[in-house]
Amino acid sequence: MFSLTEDQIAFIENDIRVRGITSSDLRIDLLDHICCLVENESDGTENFELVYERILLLFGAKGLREIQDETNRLLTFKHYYIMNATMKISGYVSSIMILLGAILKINHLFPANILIVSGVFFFTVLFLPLMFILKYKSEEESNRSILLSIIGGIASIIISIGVLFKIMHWPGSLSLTLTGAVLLVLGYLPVYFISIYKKTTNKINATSTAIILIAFVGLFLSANKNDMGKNYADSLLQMNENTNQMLSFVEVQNKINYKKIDERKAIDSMAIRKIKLLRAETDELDTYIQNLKTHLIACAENISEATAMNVKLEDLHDPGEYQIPTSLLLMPSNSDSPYTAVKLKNKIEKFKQTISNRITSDVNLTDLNTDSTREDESWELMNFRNIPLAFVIHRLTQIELAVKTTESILLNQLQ
Amino acid sequence: MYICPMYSSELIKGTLKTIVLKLLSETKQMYGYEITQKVKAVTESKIVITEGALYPLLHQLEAEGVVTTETVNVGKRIRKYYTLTQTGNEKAKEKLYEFAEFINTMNILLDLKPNMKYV
Repeated sequence: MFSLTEDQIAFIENDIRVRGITSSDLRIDLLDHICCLVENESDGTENFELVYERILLLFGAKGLREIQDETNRLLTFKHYYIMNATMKISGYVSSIMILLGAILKINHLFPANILIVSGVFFFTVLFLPLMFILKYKSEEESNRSILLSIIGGIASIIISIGVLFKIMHWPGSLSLTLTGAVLLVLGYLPVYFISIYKKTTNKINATSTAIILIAFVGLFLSANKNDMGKNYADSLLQMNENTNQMLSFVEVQNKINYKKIDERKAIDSMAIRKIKLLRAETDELDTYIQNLKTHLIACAENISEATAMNVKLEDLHDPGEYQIPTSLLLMPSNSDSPYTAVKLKNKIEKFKQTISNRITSDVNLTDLNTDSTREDESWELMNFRNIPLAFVIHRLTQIELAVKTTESILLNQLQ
Repeated sequence: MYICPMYSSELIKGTLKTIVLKLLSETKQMYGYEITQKVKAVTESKIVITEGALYPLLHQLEAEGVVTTETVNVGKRIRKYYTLTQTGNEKAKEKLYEFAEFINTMNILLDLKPNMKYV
């Protein structure tokens, strides 16, 4: 049996290193092993390089590199199979839970939220971290793949928590999903795209993956922008705008009518008295409602009443806030306050009574009805319990319009 | 993982550790190439252990404290010898016992007779 020369050994050692064996411990094993093989396979007369090439073929298609990968997997990754199984099971379970939860939620059935929250919890806490750890371990240990796994993992965890917040209507969902999406688009995608694109065989794959990811992020963001909440808010603002326009139109008409009446001398004193009473009653109720609106906005937005007077519906910082209006208008502990739903109801009732008792009984006051249309709920609760601030303000403006319209009808009758 | 001219890989999957531990318990210290050659010789090439299976296993056993290594200069290169530790010896016995039990059970289950022609 012949022995390899020092140069030949050095050549093999270098070649093993070039073929991706970075662990020096394993290199010692493989160098000795290959040297033994070469020495036993050849009698020394054959060309060394040919023998070496032939020996390398014994290591299979993936070559020496696979030995190191397998070693790393066994060493650093004793629980690989447990982790893999946990990842798969948590993936299946969480996606089924989320899907079931979504179906139940669409049908407004009870355990929907529990299913969705626990589904997303398993998905975020088990599936995603395991997936990225396993993915990172199975790839080459370059700095890029470590970075990629960390960015991708964090981004997808943030997005998935953000989506959960969104579904559950918890605050902060938009900033969470936006942070995740920005991280994904600006951090993960470029690195991922470059690393995949360098492997030429994967070009089509990489391009399509990148396009799909970008498209999803785009769709997701646009869905966020045009959500139902915004549509509701927009239509409410529009309705309120219309009501305000009608209100100012009626107010202007009433002013003109009062002016005409003042100019006309030939009106009997009885009618004049009624008109004065009507004007006083209307002004009193209208001023009360306006002050009530100002008071609500001032408390809910935490600003002074002077500032609140000029705040419009579209300027509200938190138009969806409903706890403050509900407690101000309905809490028994607030009953000393001049601005409660019951007091509003009493004022409307007093207005109606004054009109039908002292001005005319021949008028339709259904727009100012304060009777409940439901058996189990009073008018106050029906109109103001857990109703967002913007809707409460709009409702009060509607009442103002009804008062002013009544004034207008009566003015025309009395002239 | 094995290149085995005779047996399907499902059949002997999981026996590699037993084979290596047994060989090391017999022969105090061995190096990788020696182990592959020994298995080849004893089994008349019916079982051939590949490097891709052997070295990852040896490194795992070392990390688990089942074997220790010792490097020796052989000519112009370094050779790494593997030796069983105390734990390793117990582990080898354990594995052998387990495997013997398994073979006994399979004997009963499949009603095997030694050296019988089953074709």
